[in-house]
Amino acid sequence: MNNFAKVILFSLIVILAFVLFANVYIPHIQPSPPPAEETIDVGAMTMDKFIALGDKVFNGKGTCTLCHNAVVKRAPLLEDIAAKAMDRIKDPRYKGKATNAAEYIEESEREPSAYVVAGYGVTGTNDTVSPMPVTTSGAIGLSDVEVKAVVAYLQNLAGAEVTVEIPRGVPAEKKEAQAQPAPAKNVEEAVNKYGCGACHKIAKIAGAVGEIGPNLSRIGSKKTEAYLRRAVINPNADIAEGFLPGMMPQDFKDKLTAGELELIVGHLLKSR
Amino acid sequence: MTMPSVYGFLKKKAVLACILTAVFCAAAAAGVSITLPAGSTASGVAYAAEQSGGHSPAAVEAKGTDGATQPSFQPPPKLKASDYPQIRGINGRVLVWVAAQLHLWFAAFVLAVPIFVFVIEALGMITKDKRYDKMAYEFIKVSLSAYSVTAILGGLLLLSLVVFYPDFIKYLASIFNSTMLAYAFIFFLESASLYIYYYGWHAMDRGFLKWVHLTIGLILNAVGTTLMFMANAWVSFTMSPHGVDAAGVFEGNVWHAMHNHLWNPINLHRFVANIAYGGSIVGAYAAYKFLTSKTDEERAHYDWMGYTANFLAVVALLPLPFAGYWLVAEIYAYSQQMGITLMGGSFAWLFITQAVIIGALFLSANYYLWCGMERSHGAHRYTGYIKYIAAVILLCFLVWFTPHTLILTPAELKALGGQYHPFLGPLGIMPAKNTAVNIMLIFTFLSFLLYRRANLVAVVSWARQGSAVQAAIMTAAILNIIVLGTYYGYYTNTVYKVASSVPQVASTLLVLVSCMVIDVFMFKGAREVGPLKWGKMPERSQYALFLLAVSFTWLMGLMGFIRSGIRQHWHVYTVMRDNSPDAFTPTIGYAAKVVSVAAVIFMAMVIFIFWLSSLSSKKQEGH
Amino acid sequence: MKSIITYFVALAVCAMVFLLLDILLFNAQGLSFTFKG
Repeated sequence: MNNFAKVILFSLIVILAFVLFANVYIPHIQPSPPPAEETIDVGAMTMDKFIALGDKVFNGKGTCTLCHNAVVKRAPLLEDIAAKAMDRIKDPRYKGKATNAAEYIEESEREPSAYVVAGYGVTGTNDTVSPMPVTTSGAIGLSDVEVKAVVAYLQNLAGAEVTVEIPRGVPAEKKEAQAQPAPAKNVEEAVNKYGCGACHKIAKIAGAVGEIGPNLSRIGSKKTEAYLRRAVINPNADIAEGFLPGMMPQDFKDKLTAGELELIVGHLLKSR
Repeated sequence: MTMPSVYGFLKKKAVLACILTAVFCAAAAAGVSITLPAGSTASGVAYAAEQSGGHSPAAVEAKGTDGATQPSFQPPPKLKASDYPQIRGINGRVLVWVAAQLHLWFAAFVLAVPIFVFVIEALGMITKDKRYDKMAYEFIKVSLSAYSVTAILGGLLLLSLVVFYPDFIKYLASIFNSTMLAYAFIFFLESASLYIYYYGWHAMDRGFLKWVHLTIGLILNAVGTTLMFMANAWVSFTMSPHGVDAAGVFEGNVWHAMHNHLWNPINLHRFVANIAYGGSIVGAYAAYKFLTSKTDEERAHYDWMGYTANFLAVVALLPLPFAGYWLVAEIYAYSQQMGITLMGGSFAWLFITQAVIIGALFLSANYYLWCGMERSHGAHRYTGYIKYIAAVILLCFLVWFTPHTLILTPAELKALGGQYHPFLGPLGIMPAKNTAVNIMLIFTFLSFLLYRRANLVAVVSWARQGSAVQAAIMTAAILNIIVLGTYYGYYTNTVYKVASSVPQVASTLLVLVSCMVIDVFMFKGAREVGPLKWGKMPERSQYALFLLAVSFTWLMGLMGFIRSGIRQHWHVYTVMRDNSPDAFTPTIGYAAKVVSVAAVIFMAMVIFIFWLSSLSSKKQEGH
Repeated sequence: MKSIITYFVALAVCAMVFLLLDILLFNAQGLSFTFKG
């Protein structure tokens, strides 16, 4: 073998060894996918759902568990934070304005340095500055609803009474989110925009294969236009046999544009 | 003034100017944050250009359309998946990734070579050894052919970004357009000085003209470094945006955007790494030339060239961990979350891979030194020790090879079944690794000391006691490192575990400095056993140089992935979200494959370029 | 013989130097050099 071939072979073997090392020797870890940007429907939210949302934010988008976990203990554990909150507020080192547990937890998310648990401050600041990022800004960027949902989750986790209130009314960010999307141009866009396909099977729409709600792929042969329109804007008016009322979002009457409603109803009528 | 004194005067001046400029470059590279007046540092040049340019065109344009007195800028658009052009059969992210990586490899090479060509040319002038000059010329010739390829790849990178990420590049351009213009102009300066430096080599090879030539080399380096700093500013802006508000609206001062939090750490890290990288590529070039040499004279030349290049690469490699440490510390300071993404979570395993490759580099560097001892007549006095050094270094490497305890996200913990890697023992934790790496450094240094004295016989009367003192320093240091590593690493709390690594590193540094000082005095005026037999190297030794070059290339690619990857699903961290279908972070295994494919493409291109330059030299010989 | 004596004397001196270095560097990090941890 000549030198050129030997050198090439040697180099390829080295690269192959590195690839094998990176693929075989070290464990396979699939990094978590980017957090989804979803609009939260506060209107239909029950307290259980609100706590579940907090759970999701706490263990996901909020990245809280990177530090607040029992293994690495980069930050204090939060299992009993709701129970401890009152002691913290009474601590002379406390710098915040909270008067109860819910306020304290929310304040900690917004101003982490209001109270720094002893031993967890930034080195050299004598526990006056917290290394925790402000959860409402930067790469985490929790919304007001999400901040409060985390409070509910943590209160529930501690076995305490959940006193935080679900922010009712239309929060500013939601209004913005509603104002932003352009009206759908065709029925496929409209169906995808409102996620109908997640629960219903709809003819000729890719991905609309849900089974939580009634199958709509032949609905046009069974129901009238008026029935279908009513079923979208007031879902509980008629409930198909074998399905429960209250499952379908109640606010399509506020969300859909007239054009979108016509697109969807028209499409369903044609689905025979 | 008579001619000689004018010459002498100019010579002194030139040296002074060189030193001053070098100091400025070094200061700029080291990220000295003292506020020098604009224009006085290399990075300041860009600032000065900015200042004299007045308002950036974007600002003026915005003024014109809005009719407002304040320049107004748009926030980055909120993108949807449909905003990213898709071309069937081409993965845009992979294309951008590979183009960027290839551009970076070539750029690192063409920026690094002039740095040590300058040093070698200066060495040749000081020592009056013609070999240096010949080698410097050969180096610059190699980099010249790579230069145009660098520019072409830069163009490819820009094109692929414009095609696949139009809105992202539009946003960046709206902030940096003025520096992009300056960049084009400085690129022109770089080309001009490079061509004058190369083509004027023989025309300006004596007397005063040689000093002019050296100064052109310095200008070439200053301009090249400025270019890199400007490109670094764009890159570091996407990691730690500055000069924009929380929504990403540009505040109008491009210097603020350039001088963002991570700019100088990245500048320093890339500057040092480039030198190590350039050295390794030239080393591989020399190794190949050595293997294919027909005459002993050629072999001697390329052996020496390979040795020098390898030496430069390893010397530049040594401070790199410190530059890296600074960069990571600044990442933590900028964003705790980004820091944890970097060192915890799935990226942490990337550092295990890095550690293993660096360990392999140490092994090969030692191996090359041991083979190199065959060049000298007096080496047989020391060859018996090599097997012990090899055993210790191998042992340290194995400790380092053991995957270490990681900070993982809970989801990853579940996937892995506990925080510990299945193969993990107590050797996997950080104190063991710190201990291993420090001992590895000391023994590598010992290899180097033995190599140094292989051909020398000390003439000072205290030579034996001197060696005894050196041995004592090393013994004490190793004991100290082991005690710190075991006692504080295993029997105390985390704070002490981390803190004990500082005296460990300090012990190593103390050994390096004090033993070297003793060595220099001990071998002052030492008698040589015989002339060094350059070229008398076994062929297998050259493969250490190939291993160095390939590992550096691959490692750089992997580190490029993490540099870009820690932004996660952001184009510009916290400011402009990446909503493309490819916004997810790939696994390390996947990244390793992409990097490997890119590395093979790079190798093929390098071989082609070297082949081209060998054609031109054959032609010269023929005429 | 002379170099062996030199070695052990130097070793003792170096041990002291490194101990001092450890104390200094632990103190610089706000920790006391102690065997209790």
